[in-house]
Amino acid sequence: MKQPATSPKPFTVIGGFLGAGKTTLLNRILRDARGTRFAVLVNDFGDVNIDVSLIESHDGTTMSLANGCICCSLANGFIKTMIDLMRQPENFDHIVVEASGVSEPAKIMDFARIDRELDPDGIIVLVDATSFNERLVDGKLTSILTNQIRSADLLILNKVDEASAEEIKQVRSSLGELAGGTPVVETSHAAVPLGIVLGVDAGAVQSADDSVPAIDSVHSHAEMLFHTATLTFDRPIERPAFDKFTEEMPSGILRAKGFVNLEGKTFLWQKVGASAQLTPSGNRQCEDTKIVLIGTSEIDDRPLLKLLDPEQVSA
Amino acid sequence: MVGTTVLSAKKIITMNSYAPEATHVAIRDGRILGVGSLEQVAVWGDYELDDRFADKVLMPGFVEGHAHAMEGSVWDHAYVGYQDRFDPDGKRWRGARSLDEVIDVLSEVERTMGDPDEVLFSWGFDPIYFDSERMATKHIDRVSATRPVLVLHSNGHVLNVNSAVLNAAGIDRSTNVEGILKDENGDPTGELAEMAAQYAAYKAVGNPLLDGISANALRRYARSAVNAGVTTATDLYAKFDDSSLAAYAEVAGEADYPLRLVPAMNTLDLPFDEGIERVRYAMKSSSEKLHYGLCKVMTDGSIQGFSGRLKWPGYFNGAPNGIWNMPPEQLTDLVMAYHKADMHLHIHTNGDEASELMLDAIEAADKAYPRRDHRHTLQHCQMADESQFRRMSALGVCSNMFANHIYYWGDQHRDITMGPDRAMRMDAARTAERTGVHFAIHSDAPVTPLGPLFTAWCAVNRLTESGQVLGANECISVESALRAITLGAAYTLKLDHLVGSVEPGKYADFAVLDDDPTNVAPGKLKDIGVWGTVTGGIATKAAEKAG
Repeated sequence: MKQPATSPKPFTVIGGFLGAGKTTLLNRILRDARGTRFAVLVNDFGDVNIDVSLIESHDGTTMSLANGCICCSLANGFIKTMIDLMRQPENFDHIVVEASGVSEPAKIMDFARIDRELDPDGIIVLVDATSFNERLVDGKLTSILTNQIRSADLLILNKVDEASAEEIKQVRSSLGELAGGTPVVETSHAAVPLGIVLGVDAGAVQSADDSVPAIDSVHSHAEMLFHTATLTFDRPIERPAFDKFTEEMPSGILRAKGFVNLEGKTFLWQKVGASAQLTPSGNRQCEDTKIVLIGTSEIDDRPLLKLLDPEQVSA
Repeated sequence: MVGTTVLSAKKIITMNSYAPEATHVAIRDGRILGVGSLEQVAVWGDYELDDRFADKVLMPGFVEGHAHAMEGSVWDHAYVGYQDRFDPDGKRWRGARSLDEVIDVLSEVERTMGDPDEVLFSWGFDPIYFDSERMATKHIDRVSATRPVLVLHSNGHVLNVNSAVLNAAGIDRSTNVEGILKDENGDPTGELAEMAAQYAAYKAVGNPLLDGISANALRRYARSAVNAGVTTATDLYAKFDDSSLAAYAEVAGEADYPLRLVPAMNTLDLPFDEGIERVRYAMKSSSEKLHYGLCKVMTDGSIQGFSGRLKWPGYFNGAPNGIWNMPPEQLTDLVMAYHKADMHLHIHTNGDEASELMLDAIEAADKAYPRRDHRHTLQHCQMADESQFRRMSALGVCSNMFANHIYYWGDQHRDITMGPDRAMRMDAARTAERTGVHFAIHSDAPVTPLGPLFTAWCAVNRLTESGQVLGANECISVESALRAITLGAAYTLKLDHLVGSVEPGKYADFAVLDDDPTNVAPGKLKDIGVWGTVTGGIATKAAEKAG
């Protein structure tokens, strides 16, 4: 088994049908990235709306931006684009793929599940609140939309400002039927905090201080608050306690990531929406458990810390 | 000398309505000057008589309206298909009729390879014909367990690899990804069905077919064309990047290049305006042997891959409906944008839901921006029913049908994909003819072999691989089939003023045949020998068939 030379690159898939807001979100990622050099793979360069002054070079299939991000067109096919990109791992930190309107996001995420140089981060699927239900009953689209919704770790219900309360209710009901356990975040103009879309390592999280609410950088649209908290725990955690901790994680916590000292062994724990994974951390060993949580409402870490304490569990 | 050559032949089938037969054709400057008897063509003045084809039959050079220049590059790699195939050099690759025979072919190629790390890539494998166990690493490892060996299936979507490739790609029992087939012990068998698994294999050891078209591949493509009597051929899913355009220009500029190329740009990878601009840019460098202007659209998948989009009642075996390559409304917008910009669309539609969507789109586009004579063409058009053909006729839409399917997969369509009734109307050439649709028939080479006489044989006889007739009422006459592989195809390419018949002013392009297709039993059409071609007055002999 080959081990990658550098640590695996996070790989995030942004899915959703036409008009759901994928391009708006991708443009924000490219524009607002701070510290993290994203490689953003898009279907259509024509939709990328970046200030020309920020573009350092453009060779037809790859655009390099002043903030360190690169944007690659998928015009040569997804396989070839990925192979070419992975030959230059020094040029980016995190891959974000725009899944085309008809693709199955899970099959794109499989690239990261199979390639040890990639780390499967999450599948974020945007949903157009104004048209989703109408499209869902179109026989030509039903299976595509159903597949996309079911593959999501996290659903972003977009354009709620253009939809009536009744429409939103009906779309939420459809989403509930298709993917009941998957968290749904409502927003407009795809103004969802990038920390929720891309995780805590992504540099997009502006609130450096724990539990200080941060405001997303897009102020022109409906501003959306998100909150972070960092849990630290200085003793090894018993497995049953950790299982309980993950089970009882409040639904408002949309992302979490950190190293966990589980009965003396270090694991990486990552959660995106409803799905979480625990993987051996490789060479990295740590005594303390430290987990960063991101949610849409204020996070009270005290009940969570209590769950990690074996005394509390056995009591 | 004024540079006039007169070719004499046993018979010239002109496809020209006012003089369907002739014995002599006068050629000047690569074009046809006159056609008729020797006396009739002699009126043009001094000439040099070339009687090397005196015992041959000449037809207009065949026009292949749907093939791919990849036919020129696949033969750099080992062929492991079920049927015998000839490569551009005339070498016969024996069909591998069992798993053991596939391994034998690969082992034979492996023995000729020097560098132990060089990848052995093969193509054309089609297990649909085998009842035996599935191919696995244990089989391919008999070829070599150390050299990477890849076996691409004929559908292009499934790949088998040996353990060297699995190791290099890091695929093992712990890899849990859709499309990696595992055995009863949980170990991967080496069959990789989805994009991600193939990515891992190609990332580790490469895939020579991922690169764009080269001049050398185009030269090999032309050799295949000569062997089949083809003088005009499409490259119907082309990248129009600078290096591909340069490769087309390079070969088209060669005096002895024997093929007129008609590349169709793949529209799906570019924003509409950029794609239109790119085709217009390429059209400026069109020349006698290079004809730009076609735009290719992929709508659905394939019938035998269960990825074609079907109307009710769907697949006979209950498989779920197929896939769209782009959201339907975006495909509709694409048709509108390209139609508005006066582009010429060639639209891949296999299933009847796909052909219906595209007929709706063309109807809407033509209503918004009425155009006479757009000649948008539904390619494959395999499942269109009679009502759709009537719409095509009304809308001026052409159909280029995949007649070779009847032979290669007709049995599977009857038994598995379509069921007995709908299978009878696949590639309904007779219905196209009756409803007044301009139509052609094609090979989709390298998917099936390039060979218009074989394709004509399929449309005339409609015999499947097992020898049964599939839909006798859709058989067309030999005359109709010969028209479909010449003028019919030329019409769909908007090249019928230049090629497709033997008429004064057109290019002096001929298929040189050993026999008269109108004078052999219809069942023998495919067996007529091809001496080679004449392109712009220059004769090129087909490769000697060997092996």
